[in-house]
Formats: sequence, structure tokens, C-alpha cells
Amino acid sequence: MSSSIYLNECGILLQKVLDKKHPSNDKEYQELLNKLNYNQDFEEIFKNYISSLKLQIIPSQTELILVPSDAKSPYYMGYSEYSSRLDKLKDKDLGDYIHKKAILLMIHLSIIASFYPSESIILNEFDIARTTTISDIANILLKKANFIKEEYQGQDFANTIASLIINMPHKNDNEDSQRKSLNIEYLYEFIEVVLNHLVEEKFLSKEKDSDKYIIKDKYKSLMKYHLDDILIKKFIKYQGRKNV
Amino acid sequence: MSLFGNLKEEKSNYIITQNQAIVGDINYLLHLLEPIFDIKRFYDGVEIDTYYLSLLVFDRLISDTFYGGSLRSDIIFMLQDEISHIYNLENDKSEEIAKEILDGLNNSTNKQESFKATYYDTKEKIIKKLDFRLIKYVEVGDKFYYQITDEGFMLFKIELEKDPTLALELKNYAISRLIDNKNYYRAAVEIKKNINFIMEYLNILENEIRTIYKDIYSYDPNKVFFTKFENFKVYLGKPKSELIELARKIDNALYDKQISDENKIKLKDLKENYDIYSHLMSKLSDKITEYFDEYNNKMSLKNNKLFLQKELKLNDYSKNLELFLEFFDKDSDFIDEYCLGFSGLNTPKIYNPFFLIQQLCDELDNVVTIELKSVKNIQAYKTNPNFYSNEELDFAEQYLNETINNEIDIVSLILKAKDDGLDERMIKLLYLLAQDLCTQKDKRLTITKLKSKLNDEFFCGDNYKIRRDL
Repeated sequence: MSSSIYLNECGILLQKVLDKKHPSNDKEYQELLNKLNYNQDFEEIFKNYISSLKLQIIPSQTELILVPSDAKSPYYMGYSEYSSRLDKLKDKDLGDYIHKKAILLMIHLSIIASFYPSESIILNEFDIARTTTISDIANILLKKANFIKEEYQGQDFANTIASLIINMPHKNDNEDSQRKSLNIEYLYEFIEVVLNHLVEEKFLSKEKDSDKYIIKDKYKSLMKYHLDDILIKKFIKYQGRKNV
Repeated sequence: MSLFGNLKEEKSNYIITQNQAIVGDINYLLHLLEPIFDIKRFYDGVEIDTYYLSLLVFDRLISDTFYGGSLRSDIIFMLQDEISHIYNLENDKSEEIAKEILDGLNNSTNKQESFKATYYDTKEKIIKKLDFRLIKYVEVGDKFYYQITDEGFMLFKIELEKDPTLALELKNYAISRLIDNKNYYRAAVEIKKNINFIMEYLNILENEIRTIYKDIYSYDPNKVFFTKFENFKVYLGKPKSELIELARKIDNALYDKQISDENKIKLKDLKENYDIYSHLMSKLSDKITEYFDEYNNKMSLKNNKLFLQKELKLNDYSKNLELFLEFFDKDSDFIDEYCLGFSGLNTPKIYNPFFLIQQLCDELDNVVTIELKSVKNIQAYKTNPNFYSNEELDFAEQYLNETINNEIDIVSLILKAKDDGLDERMIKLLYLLAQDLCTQKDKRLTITKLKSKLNDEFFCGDNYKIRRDL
């Protein structure tokens, strides 16, 4: 089989991606990436291979981004895999399981919102905020929660979530001394877990000796790719049709 | 489920009249024989005993006389036929053997020739053997009869439950005998029993096929039923000469001028039932084929998965790719199985936050929808100022036709609204209200079906989905 000569190289390239390596500091990776771009046979076999694993390539200039194309992929990370990361959070004031999910969703959306402050900016890379901080995200989240509480009075679920976020103890809660003394910075903790995971997965990086998180190309590329299916429909809906 | 289930009481009564002591023994036996039961045949490799017994059993089952049994000459003739067929013997020789078998069975002192059953004694936990007789010899006037003994009948009943095809075959035979005896009413009753019997199997098969579709990887067929299906498959694969024979007999009787009008009516009923029966038989045949096709097809996928699970290695990408190419050449639909093959391996997960968002959104959507589904009438919309203005709601209420009963009505309502030039927002409201009206009237309304129908007709696919949460 003519394809067999590339088998090994395909394997190595996939391994590099799975190990979260970056071509800028890995010569072999860079070489294979070049080969992928310029050798059609190799490209074809690699694409065939990753599609067999239900992976797809996200267009990016700097690195090779692979994501599962559906939930059947052995590499797919769904909520069940993700939830173990949330286990270390103390489950105070969180209510049902589904509430935790809703808050997680809101945090993710707030992170997006902190980088992309308005809808029009999404398409214009130059206006993207380069960094964000936990308190930025927390502020967006609270603002959003307050908005939901006002706007969706009749809806129990949305209201519950909003109340949970608003009442969650957080850093700026100076007025409530009792909470402060308990020293539970729950909301911050929650956001931090999400952010740290994004750093681990090389979507963001953390600035040294500062609390700033920097957006990386991988995140931008994915964002661009998912623009249609996520942002237009969901982001706006859950934000309550207003830019935060 | 048994064709002979209802005969048990009949049978017990019969036993009581003959020998009360045997009833206790048989009950005990039935209880004991359940786990493992194995009939040791009289002559190796010969199906004679089955046929022979069947003849006796059916004569007894359908007999209207007290001495229900078969004439010795009939049985010898039948046995002889079988023996000559199996061993390719001359008629004289096979007749001799047939007589020998019967005499051997009839000889009460000859224990070696008696029927042997092995069973597992659940109390003592050992395998035991039992000797008992299957048939007895009766002399009435100048005629000789053979009857099946009570033990024999019970043992036979157990065998029949194991293999329903045998039961069917015997029933067909019994029906044929009933037609010979002009007992058309009884024949129709027996055919109806067969029909119910097959219907039950059709239902079971349908369920099994559905289960396979649902999830082959956890599908584990009930062994008892699976064996029965296999028996059916073999049975249905053979040409059904006895069925053709039945049809022929019924037809002949229908055109027989000597048969009274009263009997003709019974015959017509019989004929109708026979048509249903033969139709169901062919349906059962199709279903069985479908089941095994489905089963084998999916089993091969399951085996692929098991094979891959063994062969795929976590970090040996070249080997994994090689396996993929090997399988992919054979079957392009196999990607799902390939991916499932990794399920045992601790593959690293690739995180895509946007997928997680999507997943969470979808789940939460359901939560929201479920909550909102309890909102059942226009008042609820009115009290919620975020949905629609009161003017809009009043308009919708007037526009809505009270005769909306089903999804067709909803579609025509929306069509009308479209023709009247109402805007999409209003159509959406009408849709919601009409749907609520319908659900109040009929719980079976399939909303999903309706949604896709509407989406196809008006909203061009995904661009504009009808949703409750606005």
C-alpha cells in the first residue's frame, strides 16, 4: 500500500497535537506541518486518518488545531469529562446539578464577552481585547445576571441562575462582612478553574506576575470557526439580546 | 406461551379419572425436570419417536372417544413409512422393524426398552435417571389401540414448549385429522389458537429487532427465545407440505356436495382463518429472516468492535491507522465502530470550549422548554409581558379556530395565516397557541413530527426554527 510510508509520520503529527506541542518550539512538528501543507499525498492520508477518528482541522496560520467533529470521537471531551475539574469547587449555594451547568455556560460566555466586547468586533481581529482578568469576567457575569433578573421575571429557571450568581460570594462583596470572614471567593474560584483549564489547553496564556490572561491564536481561530453556530444564535440569546 | 397451555386442566382431569397417584408423581417430575431435561431416544438418529409420539398425543388430544388412541395398524403403517424413508429399506423389512419397536415399547417387563429421562435433581444436586413408559396398549373389542401414558404426555409437553415449531407442526397435523373427521368447528378453533400463537411470536420478534436497533452493544438475546427463533428459522425454511395439504383438504371439502349447508358455513369460517394463518406464517418467515439479518449484521459490527478493542493501542498510531485502512477497504460504514474501539483506551481528550458551550446550551434549552410546556393557555402568555402584547394576543385568540384538533388543522391554520399576510412573529404565536389547544385535546400529538413538517414547508430548514423561547 502506497500510503503505508506515511503511516508513521501521520502518527507522530497526531501525537504532537495531542501532547499540546507548538510548532514554534518543536522542529519535527514544524517539518511535519510543512509537509502537510505542501505534500498532497501526505495531506490526503492525514485527513483520512483524522476523519476516521472523527477529528477535524480548524484553519489556523500558526499551528495545527484538531477538534472532535462529533461526540462519537474517542477524543471528545463533553461535560462528563469536564465535570471532574469542577469537583474541587465546594458545592455551596449551587443548588441542582443543572444550575452548575448553567453557571458554567454563563462563565464561558462571559469570557468570550470579555475578549469580544461587541458583536461587530468579532469579525475584526484588531479590536479584540488582548487580555482579560478574573474580575473583568466576574463583572460581566454579574451585569448579565442582573439584566436577566430584571428582564426575565416570569421565568423561574433563568431567574434562579441569575440569583445564584448574584448571591454567590465574591471578592468585591465588601458590604457583607459575614461572607468575607468565611473567605469563600466562590465565583472567583469558579472562573479561575475555567480559565486555568483554558490555559492548560493552550487557548490562553497567563502573564507572569500579573492576573492577566492573554488570548492566543488557537482561541481566536476556534472562535472564528464557530462564529455561526454558537455566537449568533446562542450568545445573543443568553445575553438577553443586549451587548454587555 | 404454549399452544397446549389450556390443555393442562383437561389433562389433569383425565389423569384423575385414571390414576390419582400419578398426578402427584408427574407434578413432582415436572418440577424436577425443569432445569435440565434430555430425552434419550430409543433408536439412534431416528426421528421416529417424535413422529410416533406426536401421532399418539394428537389422537389423544383431539379424540372424542374415551379410548382416544391410534389403531395399531395406523401406527405400524406410519412407522414403517418413516423407517423405510430413513434407512432406505424394503417395505417388508421396515414393517418388521416397526412391529418390533411397538412390541418392545409395549412389553412392560422389558425395562431396557422403556423410556429414559435424565434429570438434574436440584435437591441432591446430582444427575439422576428415570425409567418410565411412554405408551400403553389397549384392547377394545376386536381393535388394538396405543395410548400415550400420562408421564409420556407430560414429557412430551415439556419438549413441545422447548421447540414451538414441533408444536405447530403437530397442530397442523391435528387440524388435518379434524378436517378428515369433518369436525370443522374444532379445526377452526385450533387454527385460531395457531394464529394467536404466531401473533405473539411476531410481537416478540418486533421487540427484539427494535432492541437491536436501539443498542447492539448491550443487546443480549434471551437464550430460550433465541433457540426458539432458530428452530423457527429452520422450520420455516422447509417447504410446508402439510400446509398445502391442509389448504387442499379445505378446498376439497368446500366443493364436496355431500357436506351439509351447516357444515359449509363452518368450513367457510375455517377457510378464512386458514388464509389468515398462512398469511401470518409467511409474515413470520419474513420477520425471522429480518431478525437474523439484523442480528448477524450487527453482531459482525460488534465483533469488529471487540476485535478493535483488543488490537487498537493507545499510542501506536501507525498500527491503529493500518487497522483502519484494512477495515475501511472492506466496509466504509465502519468509522463508528472504529471510534468505539477506542472506548476501552484512556485516550487523551481534546477540549473545545465552543463544543462545551453548545452542549450546555442544548441541555439547558431542554430545561427551559420543559418548564414552559406547563404553560397551557393564552392567559399565561397574557400575564407575561415579555412575550407578546395584549393586542397581539387578542388578535391571535380571535384568529384561532376552535376546531383545531390535530396537526393537519395546525398546518392549515398556518397556511391560512401565511395567505392572510400575517408576519412571522404572529404565525409563531398562532403555532404555539394551536399546539397548546391540540395537546389539551389529544395527548398523542407528535410535536416533533409537526415541527419538521412546518419547518420544511415554511421556514426553509434551520434558518428559522419555531421555538417557544423568544
